[in-house]
Amino acid sequence: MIDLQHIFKWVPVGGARNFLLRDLSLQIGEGEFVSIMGPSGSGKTTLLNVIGMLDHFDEGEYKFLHEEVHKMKEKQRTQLYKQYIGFVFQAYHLIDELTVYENIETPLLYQDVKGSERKALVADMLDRFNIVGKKDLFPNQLSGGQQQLVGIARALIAKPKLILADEPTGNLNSKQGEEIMNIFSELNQQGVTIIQVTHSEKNAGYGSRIIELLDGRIVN
Amino acid sequence: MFSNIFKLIFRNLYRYKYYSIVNILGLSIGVAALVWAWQTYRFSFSYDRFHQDRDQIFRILSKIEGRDVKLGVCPLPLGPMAKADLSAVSDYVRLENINLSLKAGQEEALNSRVTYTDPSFFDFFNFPLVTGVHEIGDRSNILLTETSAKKIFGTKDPLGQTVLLHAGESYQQPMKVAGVLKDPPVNSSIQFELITNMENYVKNDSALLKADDWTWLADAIFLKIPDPANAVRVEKELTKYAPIQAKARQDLKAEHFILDPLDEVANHDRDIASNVLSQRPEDSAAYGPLVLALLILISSCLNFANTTVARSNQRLKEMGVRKVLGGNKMQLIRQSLLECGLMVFLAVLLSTLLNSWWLPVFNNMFTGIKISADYFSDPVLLRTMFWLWLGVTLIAGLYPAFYISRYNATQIFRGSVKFGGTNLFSRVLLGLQLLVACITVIAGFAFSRNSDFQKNFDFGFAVDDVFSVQLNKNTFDAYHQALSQAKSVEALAGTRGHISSSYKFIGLEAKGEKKETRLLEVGDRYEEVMELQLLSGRWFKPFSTADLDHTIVLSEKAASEFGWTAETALGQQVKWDTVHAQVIGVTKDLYMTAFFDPIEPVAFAKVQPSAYRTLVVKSRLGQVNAAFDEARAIWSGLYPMKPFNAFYQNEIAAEAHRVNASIATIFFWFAIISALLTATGLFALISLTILKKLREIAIRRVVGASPGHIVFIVNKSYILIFVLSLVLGVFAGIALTRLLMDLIFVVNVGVHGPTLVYSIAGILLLVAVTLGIKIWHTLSLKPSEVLRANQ
Repeated sequence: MIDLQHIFKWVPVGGARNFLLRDLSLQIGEGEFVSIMGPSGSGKTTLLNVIGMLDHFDEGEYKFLHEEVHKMKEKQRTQLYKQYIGFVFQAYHLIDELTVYENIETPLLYQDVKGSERKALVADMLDRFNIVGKKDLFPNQLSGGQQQLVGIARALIAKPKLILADEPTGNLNSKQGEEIMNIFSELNQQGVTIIQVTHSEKNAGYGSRIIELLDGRIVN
Repeated sequence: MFSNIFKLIFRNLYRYKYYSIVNILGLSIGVAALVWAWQTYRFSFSYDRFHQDRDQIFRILSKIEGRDVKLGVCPLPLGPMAKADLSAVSDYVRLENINLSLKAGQEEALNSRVTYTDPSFFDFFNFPLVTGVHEIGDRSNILLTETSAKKIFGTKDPLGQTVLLHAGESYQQPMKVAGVLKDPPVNSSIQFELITNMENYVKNDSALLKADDWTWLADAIFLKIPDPANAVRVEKELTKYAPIQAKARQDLKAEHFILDPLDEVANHDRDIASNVLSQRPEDSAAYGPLVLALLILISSCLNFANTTVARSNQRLKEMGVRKVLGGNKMQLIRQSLLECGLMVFLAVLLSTLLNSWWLPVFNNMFTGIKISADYFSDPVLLRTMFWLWLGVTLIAGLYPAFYISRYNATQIFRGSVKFGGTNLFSRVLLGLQLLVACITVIAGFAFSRNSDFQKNFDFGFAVDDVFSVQLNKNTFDAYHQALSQAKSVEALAGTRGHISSSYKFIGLEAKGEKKETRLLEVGDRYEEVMELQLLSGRWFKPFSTADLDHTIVLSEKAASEFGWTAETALGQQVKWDTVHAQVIGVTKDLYMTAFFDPIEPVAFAKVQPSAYRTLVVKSRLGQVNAAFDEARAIWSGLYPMKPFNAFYQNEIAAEAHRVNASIATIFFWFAIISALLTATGLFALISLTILKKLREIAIRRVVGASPGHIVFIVNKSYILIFVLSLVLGVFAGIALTRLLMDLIFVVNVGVHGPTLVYSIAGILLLVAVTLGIKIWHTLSLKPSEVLRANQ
């Protein structure tokens, strides 16, 4: 599904280059559950953003479902990740002015899904995560765990093949964290590929593979 | 998609209420101002456009030998002759206006303006009828406008009622009301109150007009030329009648005649003399508001752009999330523009409310202007509103839309994008706002100073404590006699000509040159009552016939036309018509039309008491109102049937004062609005600068920086732009104010030093207070807390 070859990413500092990713090659197959670990500044989030096409890289090749991402224009890239990728963030990143229902609905709007179909999809999702009663609340009226559930529901609404999660339990207590990880496991069993960035060995244990990063390189 | 965005927009509007209110209100004022200016402009150029056959209608103007200006009046027989002789002319209509006393039933006699015209009037012009018929072929018929019907008959049905024209005279005429017309619109050059047949017209000597009287000049004559292309030929053919007229009137010899298309009739500000038709407002009234409104609209757009960008960091997260969820750049720009479009739409709606208050207020400020905004029955206005909405949305919204959408999500989430709004572009926008504020503040101060200047202006003759009463040969002596006994009256002077109300134009000749001059034929002691100031020589000998017919007193300007000074003019010989006269004195110049026109050459000649038609009254000091009331009471005692025609002399300056005060008021409000807009924009930008530098400021304070240094740090990126826009604003303010003032008033005070000092001080105070509030707030924060919060 994902094939990264000799990826370099740097930021210029003075005259020199500060490497964020250095000669990184990685393959991830469909249906895998991968955990990316490493100390702060090792390039975990950067790697996740590159995979998610939110960030550019400076050198190397990236194939997603056999399509060459590095040769695509911005518009094609957007089209691609809109269709296949869902994001889950540590800080949830819900839109404060929208209700739970509307937050979950938003990705469908960008994919021009018809109104009746949208309604059905969002209702399914609310049902699945048991948050029907909260659909008219605004994010600031929810607990952290509930907000992250909404975040996941939103990531799943467009039926992505890949979920990218950046420390999804980082802001949650252990019980809430466990619930979220169980959801990820279930999703993975249903065939969704999951890549998560995490600091927690325990959460990494939910995955089928662990990739450790140090200074922008894979060390195992 | 849209419903989602709309929801979001409304929730955002509500969440940031104050920001929304300030922005929508600012934009609505800008939009309202532009709609007002646009309607004023359209009004100014809409005169006489409502007549169906207007392209076939031409007014005949007369060019008189030795006179530079054309005359609006035209020999009475020219209309019928043209129709009879010239094949291209299908019809004519003549107009003659007169103020006369009118009486209906037992009501008090009124002074009313009656228009005498031909039955073809209603074939030429489209003035709609309310009730009755518009038939004046029957000489006993008279038509009223709605206003005059109300004035004369109150709520009574006027149809079939009788009105008495020339009430109280031996030749009074009973007329039957045959119809009521709608009032002529303000943008009609032809204005009337009562209309009747031309053949009813009674001359001063109580005789009827003769259709072939070439000595009589009608107020206006129009021809209908069905094929307008023939107008040039008709104009040439009319020349053959000039000699007939020249023979009949030695004093006003026609050279040729000019055909003026109806569309142009209202466009002759002051280049036509003896013009009784209404003229459109001056160019300054058409273009001034446009300039002003554009400035305000631009300022409110800039404010919107600046505060939106300044506030954008609060929206960055939302933009980031939307990008991650698949919103592309265009979608985000569209959303941002839509949001702006909606705010502008609300502003447009609010502007209609603002204008429903402002337009009537404005109409009351100036005579001869009537602006309205009928959004739904006026397709041009509706289209204008649409384009205005679109234009303002793009101007105000494009920059913020691109600004907000240009960052990518990872930059935003990483926190490397923070607080927009203090970049060069934003600072330039703020500078422009400051510039606009400078212009309006300077104009506001300058026009109020001009108002003071005009109040204390020396016109060259008395304006306070003087009024004049219009009389005729039958009433003059008795009334003069009666009024001379009045307690509050200090002096009286009978005269024929009178400053700013009664004079004639002559071609004054000397040294082989002919100069157009206003001649006032005055009576004994006129100069004393009117306080004319003699520069050299002497005035006419009072109560003596010695100076009749062969002496003249010139104004300084009239003398200078021939290259004479006040001294060298004395003893010179001049000539006009058949009169030869010697200059015996020179007076100071007179501003006869207040401040609107340049000083014109004036001459005075003496006239015999039998020709007096005006009585000039000087009251005892400060008792002009009492004297006026006394004069009126005496009149009613003598002539209960006749209306009292009297005018305060200061009325000539009153219009100028009103115009000036109105303009000063408009600028005052615009100055306040643009100052508030600038203050809002400035406050937003400074708030952001401080937010960005909060940590730096706290650290500096910990290591001992003084408040003064903090002020410098906060403002250093603005100082250059402030100074630059202030300097540019002052120059632009001076230039624009002068331009506008010169357009309206030939005589004005311009932009004085003190005006500039006050304006600059006002702007600096505004800036200082706005900055002061924010900086004081910042300095009151504890550095330790700031540092803890911003680790």
